[in-house]
Amino acid sequence: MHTWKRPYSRLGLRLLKGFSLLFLLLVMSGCWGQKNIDQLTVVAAIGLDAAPDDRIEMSVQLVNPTLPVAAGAGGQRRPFAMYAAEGDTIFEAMEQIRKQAKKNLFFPQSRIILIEEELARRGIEEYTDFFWRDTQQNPLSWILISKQPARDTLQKSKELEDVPSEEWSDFIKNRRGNSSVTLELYKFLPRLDQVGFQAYAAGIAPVSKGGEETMAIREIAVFKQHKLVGWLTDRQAQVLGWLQGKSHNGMIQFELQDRGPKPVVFELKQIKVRLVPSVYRNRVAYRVGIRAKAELKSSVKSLDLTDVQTNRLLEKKLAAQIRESVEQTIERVCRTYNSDVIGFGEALHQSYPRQWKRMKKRWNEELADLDVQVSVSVPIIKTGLKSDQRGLQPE
Amino acid sequence: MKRKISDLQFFFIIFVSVASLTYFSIPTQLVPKARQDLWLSMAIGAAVDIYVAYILHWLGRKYPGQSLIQYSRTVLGPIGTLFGFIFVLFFLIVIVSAMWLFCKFLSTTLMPDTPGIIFSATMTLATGWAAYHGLESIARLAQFISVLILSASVLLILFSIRELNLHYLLPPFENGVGPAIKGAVYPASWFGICIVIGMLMPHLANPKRTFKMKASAVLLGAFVMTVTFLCSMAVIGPYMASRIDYPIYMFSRIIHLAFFERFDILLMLIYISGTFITFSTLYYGAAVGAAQLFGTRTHRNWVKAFAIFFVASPLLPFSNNASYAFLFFDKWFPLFGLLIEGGITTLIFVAALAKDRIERRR
Repeated sequence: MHTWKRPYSRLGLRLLKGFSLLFLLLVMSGCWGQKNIDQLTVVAAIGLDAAPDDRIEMSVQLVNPTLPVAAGAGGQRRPFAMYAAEGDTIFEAMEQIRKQAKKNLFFPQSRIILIEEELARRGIEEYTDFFWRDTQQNPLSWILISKQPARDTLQKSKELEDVPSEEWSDFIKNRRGNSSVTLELYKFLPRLDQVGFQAYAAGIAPVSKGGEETMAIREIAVFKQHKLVGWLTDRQAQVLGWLQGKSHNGMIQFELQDRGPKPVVFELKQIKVRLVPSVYRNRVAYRVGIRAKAELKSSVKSLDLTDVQTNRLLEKKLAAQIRESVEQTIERVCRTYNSDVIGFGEALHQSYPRQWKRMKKRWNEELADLDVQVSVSVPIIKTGLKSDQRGLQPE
Repeated sequence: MKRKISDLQFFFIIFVSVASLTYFSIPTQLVPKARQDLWLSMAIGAAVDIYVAYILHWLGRKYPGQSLIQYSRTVLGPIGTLFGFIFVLFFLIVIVSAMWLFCKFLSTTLMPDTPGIIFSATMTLATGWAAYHGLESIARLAQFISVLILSASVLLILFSIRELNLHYLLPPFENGVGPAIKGAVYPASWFGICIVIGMLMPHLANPKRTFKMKASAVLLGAFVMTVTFLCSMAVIGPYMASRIDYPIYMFSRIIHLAFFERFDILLMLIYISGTFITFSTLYYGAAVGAAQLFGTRTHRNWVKAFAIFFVASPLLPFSNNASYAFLFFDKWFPLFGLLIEGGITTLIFVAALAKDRIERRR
């Protein structure tokens, strides 16, 4: 019954069988669902704009694969192509775009989802369902809020890389010199619904310099439910990044009165934030503990850091500065925008589920006068290459 | 002469049956109900299954050389025959519903343009071929596929470590232990398809160790599953995990390491190869069971006869009506599954025990 009992008979037939099975592998590369690389175009970014009459305008940035110059292509082709269409729903707009592009749009590699500020202020509730359902979307695309129409941002920007959205996503991923943290699609979507853990997204705005537009990723848009309610400045955005545990370093500068008008600059490293809720007699209080290590980056006047007094004074000033900016950010988020992007509610939920269940319904009122104690501990650990000893005078 | 399957082969068949098919059948129902407490449901599910395994082990040792279908008839006579019929029917229903899930999953996620019947047809062809050639071929396949599955699952878990937010798994038991205990019916009913071991036991080289092998396989499988579920929840958050159909798929889309992305391929490898083993084992169990029930000489004709049901499973009437499908997997499947896996086996066990006592008294 088993063929291997007679190894040499019908060897040819067995080889034929084997080869035909291997051949099947080539043919069966996905049945109907197979996508040939020449039939599809990779979507690098999706832009969503508000259109009149409560409609939506969708634009897609498509990668136009260019051959290397050595392979014979002169590089005349545009590095990317843009298509835009309006519709009542995202789906309708996408159908229109398909007609323009005449190819299969391949979404799973998209990097950026750009939402226009005006649309975000109008509310994006009706459009999120598409992203929840569509399995073709990339859950790792970054959300950015465009201060000008998203279509223009995608069309006009010039970056070092051919496809601007790839440059942006690399920048967000590296977090080097980037104070505006943002969320991936898969984190952004659920947070739009979570009253104790609201969504935010970094902004992107043009910085014009003689005709060509460079885009800067800065500031942070705060969402309340499905609506954008306001912006955090760069400094507040940096603090939000710390509080979210998303960024662990940052810059802080302040003036020392007796050292002239120019500020001293510190770089903060290894920032760790602990957010601890506590419940006492049905009142919730939070302790925010921040620990970091500071390095002196530049100072106009010479500072004697070997002097214990000076050092202590500096550390005190630094801690006060950090505490102030953290308190300011919390104040802005909780009072002014009344939206829990920091996740106070979720922290309460995780530690005191019963309290949370009671407070959930009126969480926004609770948020407006939340009791938050901020404590900061920042030792100055390293001061760069320069030696700051006493008695060293310029010659 | 029939070849026997070794302990390790048996272990792997059970492990694969527990930890593959269930990646997409359990979480859809369990996660929205038990959320971060699902580990308790999984533990209870595994415990129930180990109980059933003990019963089957005892019965198999009591009636050596007989399968589940045969000894239920020996013990209970005509009622036993009816039970045997129910078992075979149950195997068929499990395959049809799991096949339906399989096709649905593949056509919603990976290949939206391919008609579901293509998946069911190819799967039926492959599993039918394995079942046709008997248990030894399935066991041999299980041996290397399970190594594949085990290493792929470990990789999946390792790659997710960087993205884990363990505080997402807090607070424990926010709605009490109730939801987690109620949720245990899903893992219990899906793990319970391992009653197919009742069909395998006569072929074991070493039936004395059935229980030990089975229990450790279920524990390992349930452990791997639970860790994967918890990891996926710690990555995407319990809120999102409970709002989407296939949280594990989402999880595999999200985890990435350096420039490696799209680990969903790894998950597909686990799912498709594991499902293949599970289906073939059940298929074999159903075909052999039917042959024993109707006194047919060989199970092979039953393999051919059943194929049509499996191929047609994505075309079942009403099955594409989301509310019926939901009701089936949410209510009916766990209810009937547990009644058959736990209830009927216990009945047979009690009857056999009573019979044993009576015989001894004489």
